Amino acid sequence: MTATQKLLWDKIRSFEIDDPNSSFTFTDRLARENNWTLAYSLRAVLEYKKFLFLIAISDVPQTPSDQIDQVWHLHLLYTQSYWIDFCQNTINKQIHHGPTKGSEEKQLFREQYTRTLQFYETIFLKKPPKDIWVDVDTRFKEIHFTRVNRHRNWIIPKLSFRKR
Amino acid sequence: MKLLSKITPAETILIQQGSTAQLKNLLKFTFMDLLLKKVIKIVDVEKQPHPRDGVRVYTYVEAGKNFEKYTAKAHESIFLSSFANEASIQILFKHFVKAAYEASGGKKSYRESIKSSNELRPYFNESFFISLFRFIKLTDDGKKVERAITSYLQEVNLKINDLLENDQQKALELLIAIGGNIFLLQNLNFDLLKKLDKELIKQQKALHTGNDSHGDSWIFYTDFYDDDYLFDHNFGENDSFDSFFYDTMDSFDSEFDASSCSSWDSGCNSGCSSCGGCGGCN
Repeated sequence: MTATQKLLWDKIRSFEIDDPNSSFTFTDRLARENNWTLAYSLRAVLEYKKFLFLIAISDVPQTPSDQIDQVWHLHLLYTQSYWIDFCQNTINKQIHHGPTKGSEEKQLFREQYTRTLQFYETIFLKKPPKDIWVDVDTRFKEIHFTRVNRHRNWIIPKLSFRKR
Repeated sequence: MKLLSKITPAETILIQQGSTAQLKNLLKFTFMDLLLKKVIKIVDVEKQPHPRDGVRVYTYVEAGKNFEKYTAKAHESIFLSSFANEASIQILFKHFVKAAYEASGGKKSYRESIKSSNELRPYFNESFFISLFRFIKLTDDGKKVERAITSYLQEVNLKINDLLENDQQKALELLIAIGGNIFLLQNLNFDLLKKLDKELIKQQKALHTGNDSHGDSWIFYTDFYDDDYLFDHNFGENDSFDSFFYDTMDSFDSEFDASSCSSWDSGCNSGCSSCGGCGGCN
């Protein structure tokens, strides 16, 4: 990491998405909507910030893990925090989110995700945590998510004979 | 009372109060003990994300200077797991407390993790039915220790402020010897701790170097007395730590389950159709 990059990373790292005076913060909501523990959600937010930093210092597109993408989606809903406080006032760059155009891009995103994992390691000098940055096969296999009304439905995990 | 130098305040409370020990207290005293040992630290950061807003103070918990070398007991590890994964993470105080509360697994589960320490094992009955229903029952040795601890803490409690005024050396020896259990001394005047003679603290530190008479973790406690940035500094003079911690914990119960949103200025007036996956960005 160069000195300039380090300065930028410090700014991004210390950027606060949560409003401490709110009883239901961004991270609380992230945990609830994804059924994550708060501890895991806090780590996911930090990894999300690392991802945004990788985008900010790179000239090529980066692809996040699904976990990080969920943080990103939620942050995009907090439009003031995302566009004004973060993009405009913190990094002075507009970072847009590009949903996939369909299966024809699958191979492209596999390659991009692999490159992102490598880029992460080069910049942060350590491997990305596997429980947040899953391997490339899992990343593009476990993608069937649905919003479920838990007042009306039970969620029962499928039986699996293979160790996940 | 050598045992008190080896056990945390949560362990002491469990011995003394058994199944009536409150989860909030067990968590609060564990948190305070980790702060005292500088395994974690609290930092206040002023931020102004946008010129329209005033400067606000954010209170964070971070890994402290002793985090790397500290060996955590089971009931302490729930406070430290985030730093084990990522030492540089800064966690908002309220999230830190909430994450620990969540990870405690509830009162019974947290009591079990406290009981599991090597120091406490001989003092709790571990028979089949007691373990099955996770009851708390002291052994005969446990009852003896409970009486000894209660009487020792009562004695220290009665004389500690007087010693801090008139015999600092003895006071310091006593305080170091009971470690984080100083929080259980109801009479202790924390303002008097700030007046402890720094030279005396250095002498105590030198005296105990290479001497494990107070157990492995005494060094962490002398670090605290040797530091001007005392524990209660972070919360301002008017805020009591108790209310700060308890208010935070109480707020979890009354959390508003926000499922609605609002807009202003240009706002979003077309609703949100979400998106079905992300293919990265440009």
